[in-house]
Amino acid sequence: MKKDWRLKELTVEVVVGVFVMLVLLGLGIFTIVLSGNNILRPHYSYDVYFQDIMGLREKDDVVVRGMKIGQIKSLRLEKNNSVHVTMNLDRRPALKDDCRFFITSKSPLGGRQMNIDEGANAIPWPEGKRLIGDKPVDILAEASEIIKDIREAFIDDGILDDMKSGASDMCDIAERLNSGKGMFGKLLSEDEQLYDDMVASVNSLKNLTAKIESGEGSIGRLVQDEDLYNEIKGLIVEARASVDDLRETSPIVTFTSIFFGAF
Amino acid sequence: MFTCGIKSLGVITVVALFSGMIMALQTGIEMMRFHLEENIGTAVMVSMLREMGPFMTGLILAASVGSAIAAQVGTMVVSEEISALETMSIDPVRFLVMPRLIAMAIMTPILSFYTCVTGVIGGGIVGVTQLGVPWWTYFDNSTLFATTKDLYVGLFKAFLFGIIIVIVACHEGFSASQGAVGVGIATRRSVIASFLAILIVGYFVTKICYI
Repeated sequence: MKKDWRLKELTVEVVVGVFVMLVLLGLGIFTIVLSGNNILRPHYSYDVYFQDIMGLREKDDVVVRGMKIGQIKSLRLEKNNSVHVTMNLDRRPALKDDCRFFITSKSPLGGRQMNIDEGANAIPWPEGKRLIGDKPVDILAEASEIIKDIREAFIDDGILDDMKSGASDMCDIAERLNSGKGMFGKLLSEDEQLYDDMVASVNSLKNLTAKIESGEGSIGRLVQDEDLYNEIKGLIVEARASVDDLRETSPIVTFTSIFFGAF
Repeated sequence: MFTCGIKSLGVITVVALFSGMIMALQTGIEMMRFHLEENIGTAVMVSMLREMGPFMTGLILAASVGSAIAAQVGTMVVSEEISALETMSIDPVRFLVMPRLIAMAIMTPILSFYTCVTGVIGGGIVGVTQLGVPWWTYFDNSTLFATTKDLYVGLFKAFLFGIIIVIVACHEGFSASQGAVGVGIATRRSVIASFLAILIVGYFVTKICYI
């Protein structure tokens, strides 16, 4: 009886002990997972100094060419107006002399990530040289700046007034067209007379052109017959010469007329 | 420790599992409207670690273990067993309260952690089966925003809840009088006072640790 009781008590103690140990083991694993440190893989720690980190937080991703290679370990404000960012990387990036570190938005809903551009230079980044991050790109701030520029251009430079004036003119034109004023208005309105007149004019012009092309009439012959053209041209030349002669002889004739008229 | 820990495992497992499942389902349904259901892991994990885990554990233990302690101590008081202990120069507080206090102070954080893990697993089951979120995406996202601070503040809360439950239950038990009716009253008052104390202390710990 006593042996059974002791066995039962031992079982209870073992069960409690195993349970507590299992939970503590789970707690340990959980702590490691939540702290973001994978103890099974080697880590490479890098320090980068930024002027402004725009809300970057611990455990945010570090990305190279779009691929996550680590995360932000700690952030610390420095006395020289900079922020000291320490990141833990799963692999060592091949940093070149022109490498860049910059912070971007992770998604339109928010969140930040650190991007590493390893650089294209042949010269590798000197060991121990301080890594300086770029000023972060704040899409909202840039969008605000663009909106401000657009507003200034529209309001201060008078584009808005011009557009209002243009729109007003367009309204006037549209109104005049709708009311059938002016030639285009009449054309657009149901005024058949103007349309008929224009059609008749166009037809007359077409007939006239056809006649000229077929060599009918004086103008048609002039256009089509080259001999006639040459004759007229020669006639004009001769007429011009006659006029010149007349101009030269007219003072003599006038003088002679006056002289003989006096006697 | 066996009574307050292992014997409560069944009820805690069921409550935690279904709490996690409900939370994941409710959050997931709303998030699906914005195609963000992959983030339910974050919501479940953070709320479980920070508040729901310790809170649920505290309530369950207050209702099961706290009431049992109050009834046990109350019965000992009305049947004058406490007086007998005092006659034998045994300090009843040291003899009756301290073992329970130590057991609860150890087991409540452990059960709270167990509740959190079970709740997160419950949320994962709903995520995978109802919302179409892959396991690894769920667990990846669940650890994304949770921090070790959340975990340990939750465990600290559970530790305080364990102490509160024992102190309240023993106090009500020692205050019992008028026979069996008095024991019943002491048990009821112990559960109510523990619930209220857990809520109030939970709020103030959150305020102190996060604001």
